[in-house]
Amino acid sequence: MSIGSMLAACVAVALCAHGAFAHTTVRSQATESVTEDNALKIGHGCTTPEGARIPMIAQSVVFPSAAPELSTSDGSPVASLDAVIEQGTVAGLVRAIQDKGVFRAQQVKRDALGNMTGFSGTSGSLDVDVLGRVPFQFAAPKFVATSCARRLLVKVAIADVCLLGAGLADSVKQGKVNLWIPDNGSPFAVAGKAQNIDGIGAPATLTINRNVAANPLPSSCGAGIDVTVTPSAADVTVNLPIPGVWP
Amino acid sequence: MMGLRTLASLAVAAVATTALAHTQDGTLGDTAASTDYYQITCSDDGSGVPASMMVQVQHRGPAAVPVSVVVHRGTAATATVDTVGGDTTPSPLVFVNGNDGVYNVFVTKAGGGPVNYTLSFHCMTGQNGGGLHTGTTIVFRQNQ
Repeated sequence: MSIGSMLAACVAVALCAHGAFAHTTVRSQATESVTEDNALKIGHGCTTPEGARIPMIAQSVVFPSAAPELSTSDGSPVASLDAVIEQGTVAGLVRAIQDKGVFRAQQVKRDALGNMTGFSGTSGSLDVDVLGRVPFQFAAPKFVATSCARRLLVKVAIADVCLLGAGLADSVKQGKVNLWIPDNGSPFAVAGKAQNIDGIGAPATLTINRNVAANPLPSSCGAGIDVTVTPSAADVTVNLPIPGVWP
Repeated sequence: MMGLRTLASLAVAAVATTALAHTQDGTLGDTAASTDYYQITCSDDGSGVPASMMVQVQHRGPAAVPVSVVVHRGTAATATVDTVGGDTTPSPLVFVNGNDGVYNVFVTKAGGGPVNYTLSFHCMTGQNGGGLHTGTTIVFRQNQ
């Protein structure tokens, strides 16, 4: 094997490895009480069981809203987000940014009061050989002064759609979608696990860091804890679909 | 010179757009106790750390009852009232010096009858509504 062939093989392996491990993630961590642009990083499209790579054509993004699941790094109970962030909810803090780099059409998701809780993109085509970025703005909330939370980890449920199907069962298949969603019992998670879909139990994470200089932890908190807020199964079930498009 | 004028016009347009972006049209229902409840989060969007938040409300009719806004954060609160509906004059601008974080904002009216209103709200880097406009995010918590 020539050096050139060896190099080509190495590059191919590296690309495949990168594709296999590159989840859809959040580009940057956020800081308490700072509003700034961020983005979803799309690492790859879909891959069929036969190994064919399929470009992404749509994406659905759900931030936690109604009755989210809460957990803490030390196992201590937290009854509601009101005890962690002044806003008491993540709804309304995310704003979609118009961008047609990946998807030619954009839609927003709102709760019953009209607060933005997510967004989607359709009519897209992400080249299988390149990465995608989907921008959004996030207004990072202020931590409750008495809370021991040092970080708030916001889990974001994302469906990266590559091929449309007829209904959920036909849509949630390898090569048709990657589901970066919590494994908490939604029909998407159940079907996704059964089909060995990429991303079940691996939602994207937006980390919000407390500004401990401006808003120090109470002395009784020690180093502080992480609080994780995750979209509920019901939230994912209702809001992950793109109306009229997917699944 | 024409270039400068064009640039100046564009700058004015940009400022106006920014200002208009922080308004919220709403409606209070027929019941006298109707209350719309918002939370406005002030944060640093690169323009600077917030020091205050200012609001005003424009009563757009039809009921002839005063429309009020109450703003609360921590131990500070204030209010402003537009007594005349349907005209072009909004209530006085008022502010609360509450730094960054969540300001609770309540829109109410003094009697029965439906009311349309426009709420204006701006987080500012200076005390008393001064300084630069900075990160301002509104969340609807109750719609009556």
